[in-house]
Amino acid sequence: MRLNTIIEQIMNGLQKGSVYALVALGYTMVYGIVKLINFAHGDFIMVGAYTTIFSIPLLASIGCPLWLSIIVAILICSLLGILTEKVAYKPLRQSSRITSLITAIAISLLLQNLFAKLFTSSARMFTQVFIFDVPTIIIGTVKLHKVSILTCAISIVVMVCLQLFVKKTKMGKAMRAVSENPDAAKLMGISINRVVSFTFAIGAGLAGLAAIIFCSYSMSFDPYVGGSLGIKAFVAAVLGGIGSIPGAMLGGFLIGLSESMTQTFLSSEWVDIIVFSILIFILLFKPSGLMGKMTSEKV
Amino acid sequence: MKKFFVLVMLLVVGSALVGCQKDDTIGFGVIGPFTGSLSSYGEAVRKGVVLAVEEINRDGGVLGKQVVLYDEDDEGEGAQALAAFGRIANKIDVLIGEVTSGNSKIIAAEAEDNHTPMISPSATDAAVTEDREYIFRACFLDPDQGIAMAKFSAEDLEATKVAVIYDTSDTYSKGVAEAYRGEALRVGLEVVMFDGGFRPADTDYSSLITTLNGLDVDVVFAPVYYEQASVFITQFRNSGNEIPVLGADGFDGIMTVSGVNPAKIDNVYFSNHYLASDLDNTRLQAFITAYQAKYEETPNAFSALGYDATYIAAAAIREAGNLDPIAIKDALTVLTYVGVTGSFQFNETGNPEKGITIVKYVQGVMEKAKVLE
Repeated sequence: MRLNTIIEQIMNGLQKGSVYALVALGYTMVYGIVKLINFAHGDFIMVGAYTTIFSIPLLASIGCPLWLSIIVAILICSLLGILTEKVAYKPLRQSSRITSLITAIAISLLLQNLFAKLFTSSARMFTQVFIFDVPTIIIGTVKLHKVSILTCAISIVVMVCLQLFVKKTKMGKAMRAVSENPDAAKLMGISINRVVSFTFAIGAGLAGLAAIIFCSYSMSFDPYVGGSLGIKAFVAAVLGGIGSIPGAMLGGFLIGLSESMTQTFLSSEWVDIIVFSILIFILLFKPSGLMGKMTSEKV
Repeated sequence: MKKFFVLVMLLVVGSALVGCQKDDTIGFGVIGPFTGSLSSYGEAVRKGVVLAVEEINRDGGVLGKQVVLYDEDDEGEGAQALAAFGRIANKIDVLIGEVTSGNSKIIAAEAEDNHTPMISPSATDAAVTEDREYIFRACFLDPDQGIAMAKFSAEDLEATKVAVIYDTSDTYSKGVAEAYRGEALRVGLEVVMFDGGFRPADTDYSSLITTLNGLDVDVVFAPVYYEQASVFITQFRNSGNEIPVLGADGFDGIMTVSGVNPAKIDNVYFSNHYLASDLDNTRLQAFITAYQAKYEETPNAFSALGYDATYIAAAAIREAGNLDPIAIKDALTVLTYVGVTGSFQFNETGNPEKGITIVKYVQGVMEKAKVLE
């Protein structure tokens, strides 16, 4: 196999991985602070995709530049995240984890079926590639799609910003405090509600951003895209260590690369088998994930 | 105990009587994916059937009785298809359905057990009618499509090396792909790649396309449905590859996908049941006129097949002279019929002898490429 094909396949894997990474970031952030696996997270992306596709003609008709639809999608998703948290997860904060998990699954199904009802379950193509329709860079004989580089770059930048935010800002500190010990945080005057809402807003906003990237290279979506994307991203988050931001990024890229490499060197039928085998393998030797910390129960 | 027994018997007899329809109507059933990812086919079939039933009733019905149509949506899901059949089995004399091979196979088993004559307008998998007496179809078979496209690749497109990619989760796709490969090898083509590259729920074909671009092939054969096809072809053309992309009847409907760019759907060939803009068949023209008048859109092959299947059912009942399922079934087995999608000659296999049309997409517009009798 020629070198340029291999390099292209690596770029394909990284491109795919960057979406998984962005989604995994959302999962990991929410889990880190609230200890909840928000299974509806993948479906936030679906909502982001539909928002984008409907806001484009709207923006065009009032004369706004089309790339504003990205902002609109992120905003709508953030609002959806905050709303979901307030309506479905907050009342269950004192309940067992299983209850919250089931609620999350219910929200996921609700969103999928709601959108299927509203917009039919037929797939829609997204070819409005206003920013991402850029020509490829050719270095020697290697074709590098600018899309791949852009999406990877965006993901890494987002991850770095997030990590800085959590480590350096006051709100970030508050988030870390709530994650370690909610009761002590409350005693320190931190508003738990505010922190949790903020966390969901960021997480869901990330899903909105992921939606745009997803649409630009996947080109098509239907009400059920969130399901499979969510599972892959969840696997990525667990692989990297759930609760760890760099871990989510690493996990996402790893899954993306494994998929594309398996398809290149083996065959497409092996992709899911390999990906999930990697997950099992890693967890056997490092149950907390690649970059996760072992947390022991404090007596 | 005895009282209980009598009560139960009354209920059984009562429900049997309730299940029977009135004597002065004939029940036709139609089951298909009227919503969901395959709704393009399901809705097209349904509209064709509804139009046919209207015309038949307007012209006096069948055996002097009006036809009542029971339509059931299964959203493309097997479990729902089965449930749909269960709901209408007692009310219908003939079933027009299902639309896809997968669900047709599921319902066929039930219909055969229930002795309900069933005509699928569009299921192309051979297994649907195999070893069954009551199950028929109004279209050609998957293997026929695969074979026709392989011959076309070799003779008309002068290919020597081909790549075949299919959807592993779909028996239709795999069936056609395998038939293509078999015939391709037989006519001397080199099948460089045979891969299940279409995975459900993943429309990012960049890895697949990178692999394809690295191969030296003359055509790509991808017998998948229109939603995946539209995305794959668009991404493939975006990557700069202009070689012909071939498919089967699942490509019919690519232009119905919301947001598809017609300029990208170019140099694409697929096997189909017919082409509306062709044929000096006066029946076809009358059908197109009536369809456009009723629905304000042009019919596609699936509407035409649904229409033909309905008329075939009516013709069989007229031949049989009564509504006895066995008589209807026997009449169907030897039926000759000329419809809008060509001429049909049925036999005991339940599969009609009829022709295949190969259609070409040129910038999103369909043109006739070849007609095989």
